[in-house]
Amino acid sequence: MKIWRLAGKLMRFRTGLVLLTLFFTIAWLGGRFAISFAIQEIIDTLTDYETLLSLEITTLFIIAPFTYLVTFIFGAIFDIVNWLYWISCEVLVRKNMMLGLLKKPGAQALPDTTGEAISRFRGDVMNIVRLSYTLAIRIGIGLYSIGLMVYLFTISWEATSLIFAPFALILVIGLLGRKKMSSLRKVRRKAAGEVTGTLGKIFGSIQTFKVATVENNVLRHFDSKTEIRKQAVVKEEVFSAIINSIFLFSISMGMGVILLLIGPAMNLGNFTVGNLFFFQSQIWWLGEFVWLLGDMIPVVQQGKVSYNRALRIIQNRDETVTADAIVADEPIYVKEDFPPYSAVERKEGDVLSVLSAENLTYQYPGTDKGIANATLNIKRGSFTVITGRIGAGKTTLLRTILGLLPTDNGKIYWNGKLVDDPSEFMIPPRSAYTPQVPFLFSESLRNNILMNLREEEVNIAEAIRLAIIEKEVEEFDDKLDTRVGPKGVRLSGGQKQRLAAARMFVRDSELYVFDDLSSALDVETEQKLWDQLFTKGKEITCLVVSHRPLALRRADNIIVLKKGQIIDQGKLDELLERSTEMQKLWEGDLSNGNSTEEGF
Amino acid sequence: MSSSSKVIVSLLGKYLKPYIPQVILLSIFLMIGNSIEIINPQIVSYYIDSVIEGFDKRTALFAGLMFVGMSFIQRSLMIVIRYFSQNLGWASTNDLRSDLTSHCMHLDMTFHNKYKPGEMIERIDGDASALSQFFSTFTIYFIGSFLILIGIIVATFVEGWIYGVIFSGFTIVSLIGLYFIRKIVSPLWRKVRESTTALFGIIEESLSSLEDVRGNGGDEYVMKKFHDVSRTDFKNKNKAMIVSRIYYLASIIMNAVLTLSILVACYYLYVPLGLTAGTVFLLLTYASNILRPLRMILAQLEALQNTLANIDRINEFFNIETEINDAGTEIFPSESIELKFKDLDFSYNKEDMVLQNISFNLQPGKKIGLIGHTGSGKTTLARLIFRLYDPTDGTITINGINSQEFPLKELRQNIAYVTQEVELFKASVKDNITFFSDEIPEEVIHSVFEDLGLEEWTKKLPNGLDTEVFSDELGLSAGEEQLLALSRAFLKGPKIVILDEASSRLDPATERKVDIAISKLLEGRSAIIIAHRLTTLHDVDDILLLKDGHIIEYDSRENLLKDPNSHFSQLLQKGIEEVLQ
Repeated sequence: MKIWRLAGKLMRFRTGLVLLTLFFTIAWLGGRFAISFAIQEIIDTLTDYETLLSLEITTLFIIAPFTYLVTFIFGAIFDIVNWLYWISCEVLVRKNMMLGLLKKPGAQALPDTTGEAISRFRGDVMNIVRLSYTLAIRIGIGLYSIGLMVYLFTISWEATSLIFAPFALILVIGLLGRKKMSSLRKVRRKAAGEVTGTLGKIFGSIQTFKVATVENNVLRHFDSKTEIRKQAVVKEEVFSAIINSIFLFSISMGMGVILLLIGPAMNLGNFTVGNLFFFQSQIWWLGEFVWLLGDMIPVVQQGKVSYNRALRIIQNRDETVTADAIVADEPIYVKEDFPPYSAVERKEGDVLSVLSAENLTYQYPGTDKGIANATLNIKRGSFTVITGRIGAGKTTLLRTILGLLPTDNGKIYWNGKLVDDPSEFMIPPRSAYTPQVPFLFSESLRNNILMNLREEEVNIAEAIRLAIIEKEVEEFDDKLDTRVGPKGVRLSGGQKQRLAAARMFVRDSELYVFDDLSSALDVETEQKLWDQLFTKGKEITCLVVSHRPLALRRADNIIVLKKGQIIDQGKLDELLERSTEMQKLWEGDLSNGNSTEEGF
Repeated sequence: MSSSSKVIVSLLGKYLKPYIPQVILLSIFLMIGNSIEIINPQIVSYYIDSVIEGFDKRTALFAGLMFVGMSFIQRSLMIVIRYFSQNLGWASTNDLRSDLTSHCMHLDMTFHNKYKPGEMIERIDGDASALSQFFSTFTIYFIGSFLILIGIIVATFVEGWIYGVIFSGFTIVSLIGLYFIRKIVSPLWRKVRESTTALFGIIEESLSSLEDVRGNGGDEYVMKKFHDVSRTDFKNKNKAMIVSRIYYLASIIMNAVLTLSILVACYYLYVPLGLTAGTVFLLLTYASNILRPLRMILAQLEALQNTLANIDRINEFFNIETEINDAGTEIFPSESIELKFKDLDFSYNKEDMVLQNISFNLQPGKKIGLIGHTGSGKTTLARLIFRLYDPTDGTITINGINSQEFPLKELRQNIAYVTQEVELFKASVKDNITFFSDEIPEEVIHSVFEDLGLEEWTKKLPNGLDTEVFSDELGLSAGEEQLLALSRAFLKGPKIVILDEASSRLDPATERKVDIAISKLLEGRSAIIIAHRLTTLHDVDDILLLKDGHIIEYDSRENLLKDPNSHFSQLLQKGIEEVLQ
């Protein structure tokens, strides 16, 4: 079965630790066996029974502390090696998921919300690692239990065989209970989600509720949600208490069975008080073994589900990625530093003369939105503007060209040469990009702009100047070292976009791609930005989304999009003459509301 | 610690008070359950002694069944106790959640602007949940463990004072020892929690940044960040695990010392005191059973410490008071209402003025169109009317009475605020419109729907007004959401309407519906319309143009139209879009 192969592969990632875990599981349990055995011998010597080893009591008192010491040493090593294995695997699996994500088209990488994806990095990684991690321990406990059973048989075969009757109970509840348990947990999680969801809604829309003076009604609604969660929690907790109780009771039953059986033997001295103590302290492990046996099924099931969920994160559209990628052997850099960033090299073929797209088509899954058959040329030194109404597919077109969305059809050529994988190719030094709603890390401005670039190799001052954020940076207390985000300064939408532009400019690239700047920049600032950029001296090639006259007038080529189709291309004057859509856009057809595009 | 513990006691008192019968019942179950823990080894001990003396079937059977029966009672009680304690923990903290949510909801907007919804979730539900863990388990585990501990010590004293002394001496020494070890170990685990939180923070950032990163070839940057924070987390975890082994060492030493000293004592006293095998067995069983409650007590003390931080944070919120006082007693006039702004200044932070020197007059039944750039202060002006904030200087009056003289409820109930943001709950259509009020009869809702042309739509709902919004049964279009929001305003029957007009994203048909509904809402009412479209401005009486918080033009629409040099005329020529962007 495939799941076992994956689990095995993850075990081979740190074979040494797995083998050590197996060995020290048995060694540690052996230590505990030795302790129980020593005490058994002491008790029997004390109570004048014949003992197995017939050692002097003083010898036993000298030996006994060593059994404890040995148990500690083995136990501590066991804890540490399996923990090391666990935390190494966690890093590996998360790393592989990150790597997989970074291979996908950036604008459509996640199958669900970010929060949901995070849960895969947390819970699913845990389930994946647990499957491999638990095997060594379970095998260890299994081997030990067999040995233990053999020994217990030699003491009393009747008692030993009969204590397994109640343990069958453990096996059954292990199997049945886990299933019910996971469905109860699901209900609880859902109820909890509704509580936090309601709370988020309350404080996210507090103004609405205040103005409507319905605070008390909303509170009642919230109370009803917390009540539902309470019931779900209590149900789950009680059920888990039931399972737990049955497990512990089965072990007590085992002890009870022994008491019922061994009376005569004990009377005759064939079963000693020491033996009874030994049974009492070791019976737990037999129960535990049976429990783990039954528990293996849900562990494997959860592992399967989690492998699939993790795979969904890194799966591409052609479904060529396999689950093996999740457990691929990779350096995890937990001791050594991450290697220095590789330099951005500009090869001969990278210098742009013309970028062309042929019949680019992409449709958002499950909708009729997207772009179809887009064909266009972008020449070196040109300024190309994509324009169109809201929802016309402007951003989609940009993203498809940049490989941030996959293509259903169509090809992209760089200087006439086919680009195999735009998402790998359309990066600096060839192209750089400012999205409509840029993302900034909670880090210094400097790191946000540089990212993977080495400061000494680039001109950050020039990038800031070009992005017209120079003055604001000067005004911050820590200049470029000012932190962004919750722990630092709060930036306005316009500032964010200009910082993102600086991030783009610092990557001295052949082609600069801007998604709509106008929602965050006022007309004057935008004017200045273009002026500076085109007087820079170097030949600059730009592809931008805009509907501002400012940009349209400047454009060497305007691409007019309507409902995902390029309906016309050309200079502004030509288009205003022949394209009714362009005329409408130019006049600002307000009833279609193309003035507010933020958020789309 | 002492002030915090006072707070704990007062919180515990306040929120446990309604549940006193449950608390008492719980304590009784706890006592019974724990005493079995003491009794069961006694049964085995009795069994051993009687069996060795002379095997008697009935005694053996009795002891065996007693043992199993007692275990059964004990394990069943465990379930009952869990039921009661969880119920108690969550019921009491639900009360706390409710109080805290209510308190925060009534705080002013300055407070709400400071905390994102996500933080509020963490601060209200997260902290309360930590408390409910504490409420539900602390009592049980802490008190329960103490009971067992005392029970064992008493039982050993009964067997012989020397054993009692060994057990109690051991208990004291190990409590102190374990306490200090925890002090070494637990900060390390706290560090692990911090670095793990940081790790997921970085992962979340990376997931959100994919478009920026991929478009600019920053993959390595993201991977480096991931590895840096993973390395820290790995090292913290590793260190915490290794150092925690001291704790394991201590508990194994304790186990060894106690067990062996009992055995040594028995060795010397076996003959002189005439010890029985049963007693030896009993003492050894107690020796291994005593470790669990000891650990539990310390774990609970640590939980208590962690809970203090949660309680402090909860209390911090409770101690914040709203700055919008609600002491007015005036009654809102029922007709010919005149709303007046006089020399009003406003600033959010007492430094940068958002509105300055604003004076205007909304006469009964009239409509003012409010226009201006984003950030010119339009929305702020609307918020001031509802007293979401109070003016820094100047006044807002209604029929000559300062708006602060009205109770907040009175004021807000008589003015409707219709914005472009539509906030819907995952709840029934009815609850969404009435905001969970039971007082509004369905007929009223239906008549509002009829006015809005929503009646047809309602008929198609599978469960009528009880159909849940955002479910499989009912997805809403943007237009339908708008209409639902409007019906809320209708239900209110407001005297004044403040309309922050939606810059529409609706299809033409729905948009027409919304437009009709809005004009119905405005009929015969005075209104301030924050306008984004030229068409809306056809119907207003006056125009007020804001720029950077100042009124730069305020006159009747007619006059402004006549004057070709007015900003408004120019605006109409250029197209509103270019100007307002």
